[in-house]
Amino acid sequence: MELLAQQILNGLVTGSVYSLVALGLTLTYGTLQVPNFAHGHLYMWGAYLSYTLMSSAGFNYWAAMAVSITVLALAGVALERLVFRPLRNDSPVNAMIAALGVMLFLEAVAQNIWGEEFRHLESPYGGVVSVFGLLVTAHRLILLGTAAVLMVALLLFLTRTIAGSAIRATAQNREGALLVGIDTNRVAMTTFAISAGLAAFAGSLVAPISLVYPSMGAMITLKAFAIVVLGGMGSVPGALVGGYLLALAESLGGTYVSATYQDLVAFVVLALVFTFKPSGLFKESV
Amino acid sequence: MLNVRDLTVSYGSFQAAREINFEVREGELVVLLGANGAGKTTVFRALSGLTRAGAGSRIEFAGRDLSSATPRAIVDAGMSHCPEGRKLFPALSVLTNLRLGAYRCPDRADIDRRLERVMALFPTLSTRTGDPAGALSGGQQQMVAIGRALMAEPRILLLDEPSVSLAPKVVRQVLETVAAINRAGTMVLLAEQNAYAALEIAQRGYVLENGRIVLDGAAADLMQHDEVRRAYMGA
Repeated sequence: MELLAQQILNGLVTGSVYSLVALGLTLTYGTLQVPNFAHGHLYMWGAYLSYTLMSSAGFNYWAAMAVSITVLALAGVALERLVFRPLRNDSPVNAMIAALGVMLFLEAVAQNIWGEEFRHLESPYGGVVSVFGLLVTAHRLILLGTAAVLMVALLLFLTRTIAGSAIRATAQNREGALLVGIDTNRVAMTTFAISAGLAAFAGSLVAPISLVYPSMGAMITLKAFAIVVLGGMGSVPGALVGGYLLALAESLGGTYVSATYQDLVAFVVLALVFTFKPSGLFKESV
Repeated sequence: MLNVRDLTVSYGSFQAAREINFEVREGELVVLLGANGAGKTTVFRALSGLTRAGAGSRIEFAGRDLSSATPRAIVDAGMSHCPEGRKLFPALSVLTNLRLGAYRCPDRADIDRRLERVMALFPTLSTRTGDPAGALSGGQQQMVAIGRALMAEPRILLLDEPSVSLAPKVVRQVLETVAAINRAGTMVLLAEQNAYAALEIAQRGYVLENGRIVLDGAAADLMQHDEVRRAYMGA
């Protein structure tokens, strides 16, 4: 029983990270139809920036995270303007190739700066807390809480504000959005900024409980794609729920089936979705 | 008011509109007749900036040259396009769809006032405001589409085939509403397949064939015209 509770808690922690990353991916896919293969690499960069600011510049955890999010959000804007916008009217294959190029570029640069070795970011909240008899590090609880707060804030932004409605409108019908006077280029930039900022946030949150290394982005990108396909391409609720579902499946599967195959769960899920419900669990878009 | 001169639109090597000339004067409801593929939608898309007009085309509205303006600038100039296929935001509520129609209006009180006007025009929508627009019937979706265009409070409404795929009774209702909108002072450019019903509410009309205007005149004259009767009214 305690093992089960522990695994569910682990699943929720990992799920928070998965959902944050998948949300960013589904937003850019929904509004721009760009499958951003470099998304996980933005997450990796977010983790590295926070790590460097803390270890070399003496920033505290939250300040480092704030700077990292800001820098990555600006990088997201640059990515949209310089890479994806010029390709918008071309065949979608070009945007995919460009995304792969960005991915390789980001990983190579990270390797050049930080090297191959694994880095560890020390959380200021290293203590262990007991919750209903379960022992958890304080950082995991903070991760759970802040991720939830940010997701609620994002949902409120998307559903309650004009800027959020403009993003959803653009995702649902780009020409309809143009006809009411929405500046879809600005929507695209905003969406990329939010998406990259979320990735940096997730990377900075996860860094203290896992390790930071140049190829950490590739696996999370694969997982995020599996989640977005599971939840429905472009669906925000789908990415949210899908992230937690996949992480829970992994953590329970890893415990009760085999830890060796834990990372395989995502791809089994992906194969099942493609076979039985190719449109995903949620068909509603952003 | 709306003055279109030598409008040409090409998709690759295909000319969908060739040197089209027409105008809509203050207070008018003008109908654009033509079979499928005649170029009506192309003309509308060029007017609202969704498709770029070719070199030498001139689109002038209220004295302003809008030939190469962005859709946003065209909305700001007072021209609002209710497109073929409606292009609603299906997962957003009816209310959000309508409110987004006034996206360029910064004044909340003004938006509420416009919303009241649209609701008065389409009372059936008032019970569906919270529903996703995509869940509505075709006729109701058309009302949302027209309502969304009206929320921009345009001086001219560009209405592309509002009655397509609607039941005959609903077609009547929609066209009656269009006539009412026009009587209230908004100019209307209407593309329509139901030539007879459209000419009944219009003052003037143009007939489009293969991307060219082949005929124009007062609505009453067009209704009597042999060519129009044969081609568009099955008479």
